[in-house]
This record gives sequence, structure tokens and C-alpha cells, in this order.
Amino acid sequence: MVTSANAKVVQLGSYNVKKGQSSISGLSSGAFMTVQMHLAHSASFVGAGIIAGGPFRCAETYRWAAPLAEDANIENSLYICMNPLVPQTAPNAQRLAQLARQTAEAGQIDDVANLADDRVYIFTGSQDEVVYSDVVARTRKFYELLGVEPDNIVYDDSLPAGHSIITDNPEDSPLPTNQPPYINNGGFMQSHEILRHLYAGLKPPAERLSGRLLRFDQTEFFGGEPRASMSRFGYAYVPRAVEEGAPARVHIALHGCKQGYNYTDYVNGRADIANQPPYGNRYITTTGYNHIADSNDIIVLYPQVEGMDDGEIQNPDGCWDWWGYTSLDSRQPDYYSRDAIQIKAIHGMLDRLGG
Amino acid sequence: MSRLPVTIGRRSLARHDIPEFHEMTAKKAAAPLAHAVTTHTLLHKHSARAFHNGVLTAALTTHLMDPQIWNESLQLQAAVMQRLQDQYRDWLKGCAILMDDYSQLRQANTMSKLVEKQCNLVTQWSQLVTVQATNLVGLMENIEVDYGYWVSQKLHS
Repeated sequence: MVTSANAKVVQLGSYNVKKGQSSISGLSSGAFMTVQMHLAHSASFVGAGIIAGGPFRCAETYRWAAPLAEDANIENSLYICMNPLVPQTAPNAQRLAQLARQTAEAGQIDDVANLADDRVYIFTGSQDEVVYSDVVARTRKFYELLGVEPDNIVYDDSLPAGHSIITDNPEDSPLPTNQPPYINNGGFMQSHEILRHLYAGLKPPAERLSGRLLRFDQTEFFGGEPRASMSRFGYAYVPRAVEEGAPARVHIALHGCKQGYNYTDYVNGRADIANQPPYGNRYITTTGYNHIADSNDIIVLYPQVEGMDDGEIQNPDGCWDWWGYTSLDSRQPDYYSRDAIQIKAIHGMLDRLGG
Repeated sequence: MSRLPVTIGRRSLARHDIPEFHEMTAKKAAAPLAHAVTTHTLLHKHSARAFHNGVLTAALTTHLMDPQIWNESLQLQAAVMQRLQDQYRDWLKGCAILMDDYSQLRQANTMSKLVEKQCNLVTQWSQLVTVQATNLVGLMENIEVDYGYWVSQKLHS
């Protein structure tokens, strides 16, 4: 594991980044946020990797799940966008694609035409009990309906994987596991598969890392506002060649629920702060992104979100906002738009890097 | 979130910024009322959704001759039965594990250890019941939301 040289907190810097060549991927809530970011700023990205995630604005699939819109979003997120009883109660890709077009026409996200030549990697494990495969299948349909070339979409539902990002680390959980830390050993690095699909002609991953893992102060990108539910620190892996001026691309890697560095598990409803430190940086250091990034002059950006449950913000599991918990007005949620506090923060980081 | 106070020997590990018990009871006197309001609100929401589903079901009667409606309805019911079976299987598995743990309760070498181990079993039992109850209520919500969504799609197709 490479850490920053002297463990200090730095300000995120700027590098020689090729604009419009960035990409993004994520697991679970990170995957839902990946789709949101991809749509909101499609001009900035060449593609996206979605592991166990649903379509754009999935939480608004069925308005009458509850009398109040914000409650309906939560009900939708659980019972339509994660665990539908049957395929017929999975998200409606056609309706959500239409909603995406309307959102773009309203100027809230980039033009969906930007997606046409993008590359998309979508994965669902057949043993995933957290986000069912029926939901992820709708994500593929969603992208096809928005004009992404079918040949540019990789859809893999062939493995008996649980809800996880897959690695080849011996100490990671068995492949069909559906438990934190949601990092399972399947004998290959899924992060490498994602980046190889998004970018043609990548070199093999580095055996030994040359660069630095930077810890930067994230709060400047969301104004320190508690409703962002974002942590104080974010992380970025910068290869040495990039630090020395080589042209670079940026890949944003979004962790899932319960995977941020600052996540603390809850036991019987109480944070287990007596026995357990925060979760740590396992998603940042062991999922393989840094090794393939190092040999290909790719900066990997790891924004971090943390758990919050104070009555106003209900996000105890430290998930990215894909159902509206950060929105100021629940009747006019903005969690999916360029103005959303988390999307604005992440894009601000990308902008700072030079992407 | 406050850390539960734990006293070991003569040294208390309680946080000294937490008010004393009598102060807390005074401050939290309104909590039962707040809980009652929350429960009432949630029941009201549940009733509203059930009423809305009833209206949708009444409208669906015009589609009763559609074999696809019947087919999908049976699929929904089968899915619910499967979920109930899975929950029941988890319940039996959990009970079996606890029974096994109880029968193999290792001899403790201090009274405090014995009390701890026995209380652990009680806590784990309580946890099993909590998980079952939460999952059952979750399944009920899942049925209500998915049924309403399914019917609304049929009516608008």
C-alpha cells in the first residue's frame, strides 16, 4: 500500500489532464451515483462502470409509493430499485430514459446526445441479494434507449457473485458473499476489467506502484455543509509520471454504502465506537484501481461519503445520494442534477484536477 | 451518538458531558408523545397507501379477462411465498444455531464470565427476533409498494 509521503492533508492539486477523457465507476450506491454523474456531466466523461446499480432517477419510478414524495423515493429505492418482487416490478427503463431526456431539456444535466459514443460496463452478480439482477438489467436497457451503441456496452451477469466489487485478494470474502466490506475474491480485478473496457489499449497493471496516494481536504468542494454527508477527507492516487507532467486522464471511483473510510458499523442500532475504528481505506488501496492507473497515467479520484442520521439527514449507512436525502426541497429534489451538492462537489474535484 | 456508560472497578468510563439520569428523564418526558405521533403518522401513511391500492384494484377489474394479468398476479403471489419461506428458513436456522450454542455453553471460570455468556445468548435471541420482525414488516411494505406499482403499470399500458 502506498500512502502519502508524510501523511499530511493536502489541497487537491491540478495536473496535465486531457479534458473530456475522464471516466467514472462505482459499486452499489456508488454505481447509482456513477449513473447520475455520467448523465449530469456527460460532456466530461468517455464512459462509466456500473457494478450493481440502477438507472437514473430510479427512486422516482413510482410516485404513489407513499403520500409524500420524499417517502415515496425511499420506498422506491428499497422495493423497486433494489429488491423488486418480480421482474415486472423492477424499474421502468423506458420511463426513466424519457425522464432523463426531459431533465436534459430542462438544462439540469448535460445533453444526452453526449452519451452516444460512450462506453459502459455493467455488472450484476447472480447471487446479489442487495440489488437484484432485474434492476441492473434495466440499467443496460436505459443506456440503450439513450442511444449508447450496444457494441459499446459490456453487460456481465455470468458470475455467481454477491453484492461486491471483485478482486483477486486471498483475504477478501468468498465470491457469493453479500456482506460488508462488499469486496469479494473472484480471482480477477474487476477494476482492471472496467478500465480496459472504458479505455482502449491500456498497458498491463504495474507490479509496483510508483506514485502517491494523497489525502486531501474535501470540505472545500461542498462548503463543509453537513447535508452533503461527505467526509472531511477524500483521496487521489497520482502516478509519478503524472506528477512529473505527463498527460493524464482521471478516473473517479465511487465506493458503496458502508465502504467510506469513516464508516462505523452499527450494532443493535448503536454505533460501535467502543470496539471498532472507522472502516478505513480498504476500498482505496485493495481494489486494484491504483495498479492499472499507475501504468497508464490515470489519476484515480476517491471521493468519500459518510454515515449520518441526525433526524434531518437519514443516511446511516454512508451511501451516496440516489434517493434525495441531500435535497433542500423534497417536492423539488435536485439530487440527480448538476446543482446537487454531491454531484457539484465531485465535479469540482474533477475540475480542480484538470478534467 | 453517546457512548453507553461502562463502569469497571472504581473508574467510570462514562462521558462526563452526558447529563445525570434525573436531568435526562426531565428532558425526555415528551419522548413517548413524540413516538406516538411518529407511529400515528406512519400508520396514516400506510392507510393512505392501502386506500390508493384499493382504488387501483377496483380499476383493474376491467382487465380481468386478460390472461397476462392473472399470470403476473400469480407470479407476484409466488414471489411473496418464496420470501416468506426464505424468512422462515432463516428463523429456523437462527434458532438452531442458538440452541446449539446453549447446549455447548463452555464452562466459565468466573461468575462474571458466566453471566456475560448467558446474557449474550439472550441478546442474540433478541437480535434474531428483531431481524425477523423487521424483515416481516419490510416484506409487507415491499408487497404494498410493488403491488401498487404493478397495478398502475397495467392500468396505464
